[in-house]
Amino acid sequence: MLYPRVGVATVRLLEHLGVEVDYPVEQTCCGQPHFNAGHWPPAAGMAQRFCRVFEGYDAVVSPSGSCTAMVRQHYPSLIGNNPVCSRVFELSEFIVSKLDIDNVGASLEGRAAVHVGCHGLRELGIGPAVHRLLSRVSGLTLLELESDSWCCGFGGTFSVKFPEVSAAMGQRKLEPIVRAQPDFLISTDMSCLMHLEGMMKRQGVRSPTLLHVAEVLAPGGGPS
Amino acid sequence: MNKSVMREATRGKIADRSLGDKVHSATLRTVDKRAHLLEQLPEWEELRSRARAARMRALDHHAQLLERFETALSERGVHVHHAADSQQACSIITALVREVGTRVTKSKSMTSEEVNLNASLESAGIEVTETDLGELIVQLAGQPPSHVTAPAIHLSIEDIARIFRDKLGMVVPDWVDLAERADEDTRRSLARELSLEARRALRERFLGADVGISGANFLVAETGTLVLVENEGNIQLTTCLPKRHIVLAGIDKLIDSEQDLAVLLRVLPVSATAQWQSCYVSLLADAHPDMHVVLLDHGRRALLEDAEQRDLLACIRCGACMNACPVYRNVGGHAYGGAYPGPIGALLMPHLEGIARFGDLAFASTLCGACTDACPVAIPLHEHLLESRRRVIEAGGARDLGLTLRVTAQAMSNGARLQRAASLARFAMPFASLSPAVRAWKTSRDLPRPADMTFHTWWRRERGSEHRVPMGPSLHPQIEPLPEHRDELPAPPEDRDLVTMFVERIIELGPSGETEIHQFAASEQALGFLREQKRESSDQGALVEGDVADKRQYAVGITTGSLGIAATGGIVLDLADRRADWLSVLVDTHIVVLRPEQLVSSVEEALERRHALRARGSWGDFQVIVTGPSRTADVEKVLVIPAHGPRRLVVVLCEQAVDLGVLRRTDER
Repeated sequence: MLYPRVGVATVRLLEHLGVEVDYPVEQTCCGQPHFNAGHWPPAAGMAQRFCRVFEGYDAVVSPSGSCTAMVRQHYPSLIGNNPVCSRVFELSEFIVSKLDIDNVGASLEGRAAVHVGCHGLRELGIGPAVHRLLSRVSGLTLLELESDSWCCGFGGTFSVKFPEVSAAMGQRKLEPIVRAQPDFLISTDMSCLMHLEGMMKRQGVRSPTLLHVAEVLAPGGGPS
Repeated sequence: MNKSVMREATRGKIADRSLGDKVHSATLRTVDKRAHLLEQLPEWEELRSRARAARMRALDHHAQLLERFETALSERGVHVHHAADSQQACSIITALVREVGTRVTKSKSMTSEEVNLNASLESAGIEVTETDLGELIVQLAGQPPSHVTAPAIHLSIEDIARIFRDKLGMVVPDWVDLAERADEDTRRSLARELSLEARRALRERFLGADVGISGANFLVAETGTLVLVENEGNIQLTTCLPKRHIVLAGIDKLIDSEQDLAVLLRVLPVSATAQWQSCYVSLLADAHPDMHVVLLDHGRRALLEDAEQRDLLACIRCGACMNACPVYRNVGGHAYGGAYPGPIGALLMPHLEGIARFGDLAFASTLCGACTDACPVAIPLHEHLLESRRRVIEAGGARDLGLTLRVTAQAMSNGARLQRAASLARFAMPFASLSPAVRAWKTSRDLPRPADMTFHTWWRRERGSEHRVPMGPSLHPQIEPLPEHRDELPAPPEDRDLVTMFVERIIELGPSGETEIHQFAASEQALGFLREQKRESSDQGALVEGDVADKRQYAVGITTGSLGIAATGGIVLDLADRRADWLSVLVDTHIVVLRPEQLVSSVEEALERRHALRARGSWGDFQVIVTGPSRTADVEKVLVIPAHGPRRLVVVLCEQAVDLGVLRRTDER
């Protein structure tokens, strides 16, 4: 809806790697915003729906660490164990662990800071997979910053329930990145990038360019 | 349901970054130090699960352990009191103080903050002196502590200097009032001066107190031992010098055995202050002739019955969760509005003081999980936050965004409906600011622009059901096999002898030469060295274990040690002779005599030996594990040696037994 280019890049990347991709059009939402806000009954409804919509596929791949973590980590306590849950993967972990690939043949010239969203980083442990894939992108130098593991401050409804704190956290996340002057900031989660991009635009900060991992790795991907 | 203090504390406060700057840099310093220690602890995960098991065991057998603990204490003449809530705790303690006098010294006790003890004592005309440096600073500033182990973490060196100037009459340099920061060396120098000023200012208070009030880190049911952990030496001075010692502790501090204590003593200092071991671990069974223990409920019993959240009581109050928390780092502890801040505070406060007042705190988090990663007893803190939120919503609270969430839930129940809504989003943009959520977003961020074409539309056009990509031959180039990425464990330490390890650790504990270790083969040599130390001591003189003397500051105190711990450089003092209990603390230089055969490898082994020796009656009811000279880092995390205890620790390692009796004051023999 807001960043279709990420979905497009994800489809193109997976097809490029030989995967047969389908997009069940009846899908809506994994239910994370409602679950995180404490509204578990509607979230459970969305979770049931999710499992019905994605039944019958070998794997479900998402370009979002937080959605993936919601399904794998929290669906069991919400709706009980459902076989669909264990077949859901974040994009990077799918490519590295399931397809056994770490070089997708992508190239991007420049220096990049990397932000692995907290859910993917801590609940799924996808950090190593993301770094593996990005380190194989020809021409790309990855920076290592102390702030790499810091939360960006988005946190879903937190961003509007506690907007001042959310902004303060975003500011602290951005400062070391902007200081290091990378060409790109690459992330596994558009939710994080939406929040950071919003702050950068408000402050008239134009660099670095924000990219999702899918856009970096997909053929013909990268900044358009 | 009330909005939390957090909202009021942070509303509109994007501009003032100074608080966030101070807390952020101080917490990061501790986090970095701790990370460095953990690199050298490959067994950390194992320790965490053992520590959690120890705490859960205690919770599972709580009633039995409580009874055992009370019985053990009562048999030794220690008075045990039960306080159901804050008011009871305050009135019991106030009465116990008034029986004896009006001057109280206090060591750091978060439980006493929880019940607001100081206010109660002061309104009864009792003078209360906080003796932990961080607590002293906030007491002088008229504020509550903002962190469970570093009370003044939200204050800069300049802030503290101004407080000492205004409240203690200390002369401080003019640059503390300037907007421009002085250079780091100058600032650190002042941090040291401030810490030493507390040492000077509090001496008289320690010596003149009628009653000492402390908390307790752990209560060991097996032996009725209270365990108090500190770096500054102020706990020992608070518990040994006054006429009466009162302990206030939550009933959740109970643990089963000394084996459990050993593993908890390994994880607590690493997590709390990024040290291998804290300077002083006091093991009190009945250390004081007039000792009272007040056990506090205040919501703990009810939480013990809570199937989903009872493991919150496993918390050992190390503060690692708040150090790791990006929200805490930006807003500081006062914004949480209660005695306990940070992730554990957000979870505990509703149980201690009600979901109506504190339920909103559960929402003040991005659920990033850093707290769960940091917790040494493996409490899944961020998952608890989700459960707490569920409870608040169920109780009818946190109704903001309720309409938005209901509307979106509706939209999410049907794919086609969602897509219709999405394609209309573009047109709704001018009206977006009608939504309070959008207005909140826009206080500091621009809105993303809705895309020209949704993914859904792209898919239908480019892929649709007729355009399925055929499963053809692989299109990817160069598939490299996954390399073996296994974390190499660091090689285990070589089998070195205990003396070598012990010597190394002792030297490490004095980064600027504050520790020494001398090895002798014969006792005459050791005695020669000790006589020289006595001779060289200033007018304040030297004391030897067994001397009868006034309780005041001395230049040198000479005692025997009972065990040495090679892994940490710790020394166990058996202080059954109460004349010696303050002798190792109220001195500038503490000289302790040990034999190499008294060295054991680890804290676990030391505690096992202690257990056996006490069972035989060889050891008494009060031991202290001393690890280095006293220190503090309560002023902007600048490490200062000394705090209230010795400035120097000198170890005499002699192969033969040394009889200190020949060194005692001649008029005493």
